[in-house]
Amino acid sequence: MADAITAKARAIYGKRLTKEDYNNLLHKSGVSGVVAYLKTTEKYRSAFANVNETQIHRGQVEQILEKQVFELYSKLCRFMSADKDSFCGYLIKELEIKQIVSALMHISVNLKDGYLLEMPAYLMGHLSFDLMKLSRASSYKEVLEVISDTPYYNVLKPLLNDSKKGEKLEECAVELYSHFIKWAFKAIEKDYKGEDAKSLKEIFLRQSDLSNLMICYRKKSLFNESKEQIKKSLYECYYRVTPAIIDEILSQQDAAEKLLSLLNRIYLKNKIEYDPMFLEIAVRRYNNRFFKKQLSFTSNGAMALYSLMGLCQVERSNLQKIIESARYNRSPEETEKLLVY
Amino acid sequence: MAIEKMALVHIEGALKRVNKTLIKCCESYCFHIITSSKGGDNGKGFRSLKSKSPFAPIMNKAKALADGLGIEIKKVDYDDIDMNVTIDFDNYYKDIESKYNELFEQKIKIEEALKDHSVSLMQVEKLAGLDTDFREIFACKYVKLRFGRLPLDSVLKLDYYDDKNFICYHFKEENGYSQILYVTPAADAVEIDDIFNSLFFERVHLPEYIHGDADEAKTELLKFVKEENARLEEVKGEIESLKLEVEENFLKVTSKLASIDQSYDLRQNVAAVNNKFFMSGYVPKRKLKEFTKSVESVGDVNVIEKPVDSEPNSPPPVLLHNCWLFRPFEMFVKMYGLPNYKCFDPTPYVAVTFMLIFGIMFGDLGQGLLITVLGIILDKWKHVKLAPIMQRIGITAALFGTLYGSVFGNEEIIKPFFKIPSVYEALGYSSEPKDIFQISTILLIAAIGIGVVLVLISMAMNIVTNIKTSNWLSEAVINPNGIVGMIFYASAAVGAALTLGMGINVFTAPYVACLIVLPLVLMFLKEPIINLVNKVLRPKARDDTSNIVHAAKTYSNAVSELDSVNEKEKVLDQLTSLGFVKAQYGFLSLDSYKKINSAVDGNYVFYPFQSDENNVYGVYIAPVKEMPVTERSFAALGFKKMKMPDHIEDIRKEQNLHLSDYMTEAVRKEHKSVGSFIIEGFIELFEGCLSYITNTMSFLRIGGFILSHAGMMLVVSTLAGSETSVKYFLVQILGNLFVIGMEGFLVGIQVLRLEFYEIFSRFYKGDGKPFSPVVATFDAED
Repeated sequence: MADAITAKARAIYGKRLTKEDYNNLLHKSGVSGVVAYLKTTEKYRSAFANVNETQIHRGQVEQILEKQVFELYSKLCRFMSADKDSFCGYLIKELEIKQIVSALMHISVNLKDGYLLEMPAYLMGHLSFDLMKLSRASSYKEVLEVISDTPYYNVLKPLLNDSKKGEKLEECAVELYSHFIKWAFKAIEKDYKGEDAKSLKEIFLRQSDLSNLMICYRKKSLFNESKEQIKKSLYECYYRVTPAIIDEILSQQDAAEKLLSLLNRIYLKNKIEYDPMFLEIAVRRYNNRFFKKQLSFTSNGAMALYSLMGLCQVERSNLQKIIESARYNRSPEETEKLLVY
Repeated sequence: MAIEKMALVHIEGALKRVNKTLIKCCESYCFHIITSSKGGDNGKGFRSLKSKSPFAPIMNKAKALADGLGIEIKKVDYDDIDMNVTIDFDNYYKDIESKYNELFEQKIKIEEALKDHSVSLMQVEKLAGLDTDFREIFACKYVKLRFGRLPLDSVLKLDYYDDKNFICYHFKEENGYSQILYVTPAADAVEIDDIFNSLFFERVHLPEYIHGDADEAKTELLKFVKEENARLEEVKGEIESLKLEVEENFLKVTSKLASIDQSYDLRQNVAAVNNKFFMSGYVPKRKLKEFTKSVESVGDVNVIEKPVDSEPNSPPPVLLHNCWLFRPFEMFVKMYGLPNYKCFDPTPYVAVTFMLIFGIMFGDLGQGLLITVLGIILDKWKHVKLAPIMQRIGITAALFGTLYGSVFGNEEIIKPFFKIPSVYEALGYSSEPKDIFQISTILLIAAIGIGVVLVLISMAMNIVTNIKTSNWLSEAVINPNGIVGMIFYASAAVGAALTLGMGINVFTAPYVACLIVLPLVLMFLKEPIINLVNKVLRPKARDDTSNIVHAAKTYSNAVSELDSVNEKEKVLDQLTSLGFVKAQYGFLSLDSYKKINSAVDGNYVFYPFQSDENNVYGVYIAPVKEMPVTERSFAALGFKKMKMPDHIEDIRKEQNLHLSDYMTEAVRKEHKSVGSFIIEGFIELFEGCLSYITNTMSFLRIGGFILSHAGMMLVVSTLAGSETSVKYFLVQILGNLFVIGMEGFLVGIQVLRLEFYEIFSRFYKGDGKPFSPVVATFDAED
């Protein structure tokens, strides 16, 4: 089945938006123009078929794009062997964490139905807790009640039990994502062995490294936070950027430059030009190249699925930038700098 | 049956007559306008006539009107139209426009109403089940009602707002949306509307004129749609009547307007001075009298015939003129490239060889006649360009089919030529060959024979052509396709035929030395021989390079010392008039400029004047005899010829571009080392000899396809069997159609390949420019 999934994943990737498509999209005026164009593309035709582009809202377009990625994932998961379905649930796990963090965030800023409006209703029935109940939660305690039957309860209980609204939000996110990586490792070890397991684990380790480097750089260059504060925000999962290296760099005066130089030396390798102000674009570019390579050469179905999902997220993110630009009249030249393809 | 003879004409006259003259030129359909190099006799004080057509906006209006009325604009005679000025045309179109606009507005209104009704109908259909009268709903004062659709994902979220003051009715779910109606007290309407908007509710505004419940409203809306459709048809009918009323005259007026409008585009080729205009162009010689009479009828205009080669920068264009039999084959010649005006038209040769070779390869009486019939049908019905060729090749295929005794693959109806006793005895067979496969060796040898003859004819054509164009030594004599090459090839072919075929060994020492080795040596030593002959016979030519350098130096010095730009043009003219060199001003891209040294062969000097971000402007200078080659090389680099500009600046100092570098390069090219001469000479000779063999062998396909055709038909007849039944006829019909379709197509391609590759490559260059008479078109959009 691995061959079927890799072939299918490559075929799906073949239908991605081309440079010409992006160029055309960049010159569309308004969200309606972008949607009208997407309706003409093979990949998005069916997703937007019944949408009235003259009345559509930017948020709705983003929800449709997210839903499409999820549907694609669900479709491909059906091809996975029954004995290798633990790891396959990684996206569900990731989405669950995203929902919890989002709900906590909206509660912390007292936005009453803020989470509900963003809530992806299509996930109802797919997650391990009740999304509607989560949307009704108005305090951390209520959130803990909603997730009481899930592993996230034990992760968040020590942090949220005695906290007030607005506190420990960042710690919650870090703990949840660290929990996610640990879960992913266990799932990989259960389903795969040898090279397959190693390469799958490596993906998570790389992503964790990149996230840690970005967190360190932002906190250091923008907020000049202390080493101890920064270290609390990092995921407890290290690969090439070890805690010792981070410790050493953060102790130095020119830590921000050193972090960039480290990122460049280990991952970007001078192949990707970037503006430190838009570091996430550089990381997206790196991911794009990395996932493309993995998808082209892998024979592991799970790796193909993960890479394809990564590439779909890059494309979704590009479209999000284009829609934002169309909505707020940003120039095509400026927007193009934010795109990754 | 040749290239149409052209006459170069200068037209001059009073400036006020220029438009009428240009219109006459357009109407003549035989005037190929060129940009005259001088614009007159002395080249001074002339300016190019460039002005925007005042008729262009009216033309656009005419096109829009034609589009609206559904009139297809086409060229028609307009002799009886005496409109000439903008106001006449404008008034004419305004008159039609006023009538049309009235109907158009009615049409738009009806269409908008229809659209509204259709949208409402669609919505009402989705509210099926609503049993309340819409009038009552619209009349509600204290509650607000909203119709529309909500994404299904958002419907799930409605539970969250249980405590809010609204009631939501769901009618129909389709395509990821739910058709809903929500009701809310007027006081809470703002808050509830906000909630629904944030859930991506798409509201539909139903027209207030609909009555009754959903079913009644639907019936009523259907009635409205029917009525509006009837009204729309009525208005369309009136527009159609208007079209019929004005169409004939509209086309005449628009044709005239297009001619006048187009004449303004042509004005850029017209030079003017002192209230006089001058223009040049080519006219087919046989139409010259008629053309002169027509143009001079304008008054104050003279048409003067000049020697046809007096415009070196604009050589005569080529118009092929062949008899009805050969004319369809012009398509193949044009496909390869038109012949040079000074050369001859190869169409008759292509036609004869194509028909002959196709006939030989596809010989079948029945199938040949079928192809002819198909050609006639396609010609009459679809006007396919290939159809007339099919008619002709079908007949030759039928003739050769008669010779082979093949009728739809059946070889028993007509006796094949090889079964005639005198023929098979002459071919060396003691008994009657059973089928064509038994004489396959003879067929293949005959195919090679045909190839040898065609290659020799092609060489002879090359010799004649090059003697006509004065390239006699390097192209007509010492060349693989010249006299020397022909002697070598003919001697080798005849020798091989006599030795292998008749057992007469002619390859004696004198034969080999004189007819085989000597031509090869001459071809190898081509370059030194040509240089030697030039030294002896054409002493002037030996100084070509130094002349160029000298001329370029003179030119360079003269230009740098000149203050007046007009004098620069004069110097260029003087340089050109020296006779041994020619100069051409123009520009090429920076990338191409960097490649000049590697991409352009021969003796030339390129002298850059100025450059911008993209291009380098300058002059290239080359000996007259090498100018065509140099021109082609520069054209391949994308060099665009230009008239000398009014203002040019010398940038040599700024960019450190020294003419001496180019001169050194030119001189360096002149001196070739012995080693490179031997290597180049050997490779060229080897390539030439190899081409003799490959070209000749290539003709084996003629024999091959005769056998392949017979083989395929044998398969068809084997599959059909001998018993006359439905299956027999079915297989025969389908088999024959398959063979005609597939093999006919293949043979056509193969013959074309032989023409283009084996025959054309030996004598034909295809560098002629097509004759494009000025005409008024309707697609000029500025």
